[in-house]
Amino acid sequence: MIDFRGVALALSVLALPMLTLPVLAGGSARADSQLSVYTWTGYELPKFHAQYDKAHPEGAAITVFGGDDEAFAKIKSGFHPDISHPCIDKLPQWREAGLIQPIDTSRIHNWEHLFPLLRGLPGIVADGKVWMMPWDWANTSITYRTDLVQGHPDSWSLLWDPRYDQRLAVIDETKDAWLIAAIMAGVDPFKESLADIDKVSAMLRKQLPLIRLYTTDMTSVEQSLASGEVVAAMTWNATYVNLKKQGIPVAFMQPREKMLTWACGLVILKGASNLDKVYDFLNAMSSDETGVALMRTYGYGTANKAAFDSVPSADRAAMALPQDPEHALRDTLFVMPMQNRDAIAAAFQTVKAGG
Amino acid sequence: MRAGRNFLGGYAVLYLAFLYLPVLMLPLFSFNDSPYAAFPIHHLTWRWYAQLWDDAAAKYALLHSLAVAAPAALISTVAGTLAAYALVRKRGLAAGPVAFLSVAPLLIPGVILGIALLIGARVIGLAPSLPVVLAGHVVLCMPLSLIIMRGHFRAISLSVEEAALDLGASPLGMFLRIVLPLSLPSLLSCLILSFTSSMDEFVVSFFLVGTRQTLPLFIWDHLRFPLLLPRMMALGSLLLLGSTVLAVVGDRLTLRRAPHD
Amino acid sequence: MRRSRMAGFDAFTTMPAGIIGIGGVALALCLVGLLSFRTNDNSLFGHAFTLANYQTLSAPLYARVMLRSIVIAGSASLLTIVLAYPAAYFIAMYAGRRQALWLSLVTLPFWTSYLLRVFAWKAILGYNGALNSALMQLGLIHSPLQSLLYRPPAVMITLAHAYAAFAVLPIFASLRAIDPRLAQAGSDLGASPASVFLRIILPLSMPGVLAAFVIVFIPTLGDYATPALVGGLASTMIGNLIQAEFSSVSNWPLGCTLAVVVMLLLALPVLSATFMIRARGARP
Repeated sequence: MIDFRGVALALSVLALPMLTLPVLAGGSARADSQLSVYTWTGYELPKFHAQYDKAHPEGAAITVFGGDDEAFAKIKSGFHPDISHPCIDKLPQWREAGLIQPIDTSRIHNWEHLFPLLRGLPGIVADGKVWMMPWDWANTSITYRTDLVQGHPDSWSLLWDPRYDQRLAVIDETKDAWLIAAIMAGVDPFKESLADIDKVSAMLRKQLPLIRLYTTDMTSVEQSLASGEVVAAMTWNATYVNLKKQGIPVAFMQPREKMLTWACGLVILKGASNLDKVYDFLNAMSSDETGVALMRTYGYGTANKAAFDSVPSADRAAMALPQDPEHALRDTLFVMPMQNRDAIAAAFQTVKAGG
Repeated sequence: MRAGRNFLGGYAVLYLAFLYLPVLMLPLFSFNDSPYAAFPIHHLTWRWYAQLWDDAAAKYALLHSLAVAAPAALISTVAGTLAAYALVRKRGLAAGPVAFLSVAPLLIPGVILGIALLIGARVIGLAPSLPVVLAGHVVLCMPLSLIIMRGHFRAISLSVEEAALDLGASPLGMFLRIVLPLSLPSLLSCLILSFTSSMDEFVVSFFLVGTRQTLPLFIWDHLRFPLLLPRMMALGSLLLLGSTVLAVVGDRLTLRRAPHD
Repeated sequence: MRRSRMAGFDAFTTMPAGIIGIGGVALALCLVGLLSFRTNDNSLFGHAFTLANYQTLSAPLYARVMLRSIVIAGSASLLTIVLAYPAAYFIAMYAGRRQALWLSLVTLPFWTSYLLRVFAWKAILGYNGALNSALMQLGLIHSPLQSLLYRPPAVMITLAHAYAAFAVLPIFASLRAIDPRLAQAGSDLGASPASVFLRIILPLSMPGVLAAFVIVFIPTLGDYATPALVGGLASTMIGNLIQAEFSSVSNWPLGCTLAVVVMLLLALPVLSATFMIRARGARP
């Protein structure tokens, strides 16, 4: 004989938390209608997509990452945003992994306003289709304390200087730490053979004990430079700009071996369904106001030429930005796709772990 | 003896100070008028609390965590209780192996469970998402319930149950109307423990989370990119305050139920 | 008829946990084992069976990191226990009616976010942190100590703090379970308090100590959050390596191989600890 009352009691108690399940599932419906964007930390600020928020009051769900290595891994593991933000050197990897879909440039109002050089970077156009909308570009170099570092250093070798043992920081990314080590090891960073990779590993191993911070967390690096815990750090120019604003005596180095220029942009992920919202967002991001906001906030170059030119060149010089992408290409080392990236990633991880 | 007791008492107080000192850093820096959690502290401010209040992502993260913790607590308590009962009353051959499997997550580092569940989810075709996080939390919380209820069932005597069965009650009826009511305090402990474990679970959730973050994942992002750090200090302080209130309330309730030790 | 009803009920009681255990634990771990034998090609299952992943582990790096992880986790566990034992002893033996209050006070800090507690240690041990500032104020040092943070000791002390409650509770429980008459008998027969403690109480509380060690050691061995936040590169632990294989390096099969090795290495100590706890803690 079944005890109906007992079973009924049990079922009603079980039913209670099941009420929260609609939040899990129905939240899906809400989230599905909301655009999902996966971008670098710092780019989620509402001012960069104000136009989108005005047209779509429910806003966009923005998740942030510290480096596009991490972003690639997360998307591969099944995370499905609509839009993401890798850099030029990673674009072939994302495309070959089948993660992204082509962009219909006729739907991007400001497409012709973007720097032609950036639009034509290797990898952006492939199989006759456009795969990335360039958005930001700037430099990587060394920000150092002029009052704590002796002389006028002009070489990346400052980051290998034993005089500053445990007072150095580098960016934990293959396009930064590894690339610079490759330059210092005398190999072509973008065409490394396995023997080259060993040489670069040796270079990194020499540097490892001297490094206090190995991170993509630039705020910590800023704080360490401000307090004097770190005297020289591999950084993007935004760090230099921020510290100068705070009145800290810093300089952004012009290395003999050339500083790096990176360029990144927005891509549409393959599963993105609501393309109207996607293009609204892309248009909001490529607007002139956003371009100026990017430069004023972080000192990074905008791919939007009209916006870039609208900022006075004196201000741009203060941000340590090159005059334009053509000058950047000529005077600096543009970060391009690297061959043998899987072997590099594995070797990089091994060296960092102490092997 | 007296000296030993005083010495130990003094030690216990120092130990509490050791436990609380780092935790009290959170309220301290939540009022610090500087984006960096570092000394010296110059000015005090409420603005981090204001920022937290306006932060929609924080509220969503809290909501997501609650939406996972409540069902996780219930499912793991139910499953753990039933399995513990089967184990202690030696019901069937499966009871022992099932109990061993259920407790196994306690013996495996979280990072391994995390990757295992991620692979398992992907094999079934599920992307990282809140339901997958829920499944993970159930797997993690079930051992706790099983162990607590096992201890409880061992302590209560068989005779009441035998009597009920002899008088014609169905096994299910006997379980629901006699065993469970006797077990309410332990069941409550299981629910509370599972709930709080789930709310603070990070190591496994890291691999299973998708677009919608739980609170610990939200905190992790804000620790890694400390532009938004100060409001995490505010959040931590609020969590501390909330837990204190809960603990006091819980204490009052249990004192009323069991006045003698 | 009663036996079949019982059988039905028995199946019902073990079913939920059985499904969860088999699906969530057994099958998932089998998949990890399976994947450890596959070659990585960035797809879910890789493309061929191979022993190459296990051969990769012969590189000295992995033994070094594993050893470092065992040392850090082991030290943290020992430190946690050594710090917790006297407090647990006090609460069990001398706290009387205030036992519940003391236990609440001890467990309360652990109701806040684990990550924020780890970060709080960063604020204490950092360059501009509480400890350096205090030492400079006292005039004991002239410039902040660099070695407090981003080194293994920082990980050990942070873990010892984070898992304190997990040690206090089992030790407290096993101390409470000791029949007070045994200690009474010991001192009646002329043993000094120290002797009573060392030869009666401490051994009888060993199940709790062992349980505390296992409860703290296992999660700390695989922790990647604490080393990442306060340990620096010098403290890279096996959990960080596994996590990296699922993140920036993107080599799931190798990550699974590392996981299998960790589980195998843990199997022996964990099983023997479990047996020891059972044997010593067996009730009449």
